[in-house]
Amino acid sequence: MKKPLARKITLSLNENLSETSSDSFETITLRPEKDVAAMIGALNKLLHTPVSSIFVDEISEKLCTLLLESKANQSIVEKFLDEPIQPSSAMALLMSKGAIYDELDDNDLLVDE
Amino acid sequence: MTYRIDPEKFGDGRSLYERAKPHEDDNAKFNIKVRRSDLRLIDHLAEHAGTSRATTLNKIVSSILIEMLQEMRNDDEDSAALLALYVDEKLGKSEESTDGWSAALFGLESYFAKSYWMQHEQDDFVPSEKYRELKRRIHGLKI
Repeated sequence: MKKPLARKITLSLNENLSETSSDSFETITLRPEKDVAAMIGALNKLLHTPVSSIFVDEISEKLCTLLLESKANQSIVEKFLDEPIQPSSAMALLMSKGAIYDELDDNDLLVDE
Repeated sequence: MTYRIDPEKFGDGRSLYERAKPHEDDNAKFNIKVRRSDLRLIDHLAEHAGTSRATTLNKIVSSILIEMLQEMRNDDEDSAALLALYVDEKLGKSEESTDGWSAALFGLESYFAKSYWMQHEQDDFVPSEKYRELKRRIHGLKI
């Protein structure tokens, strides 16, 4: 079941607090199209939602979903396999869904068997 | 010859002066936090597509907002419809505009948005608590 917006925002904020290192994030200045800007402005004013952190987890989830939509995206994922996987990032979500996995863990399983 | 105006021929819409005013969000910019790992992915996609990081990020944010609005509708249709209409009106659009947030919420057929708002005209229609709270906040902003 999908999470209602308000609960999702609260969860998002709590998750962000657990990632204490500011090195994990970059702050980007967006100049969105005016329709998007108006909606972000309304969320900010009416739902009292802090704009800066609301999209952190949503972006990771969206990238993960988009990557999983096509087998052709495997070549994109491959380019990032040698990098350390940042917790809660799109790559971490791919890992949690089993779309990428640690080869060493797989070998361990084979040895155990 | 002296001309006179017949006020009955004019509607109650926004004046051309109001329409010509720049919207407060026209040049709005927002700081958003992105995980560095995700940003490297976004940069890669942007480079491959021959666009900028900002363009790619804007597209992602836009689709996230549409999904959020849909989720809000699943939770409470009244407040989602009001939020979409509020933003559309700020953009000088109505619930019937095919490129507005109401259209994103109800689908491109403006009929669905129109029929939703027609429910409010019925005597026995009672909007949700969240709708009333959002309405109160919107009213607070306008004062």
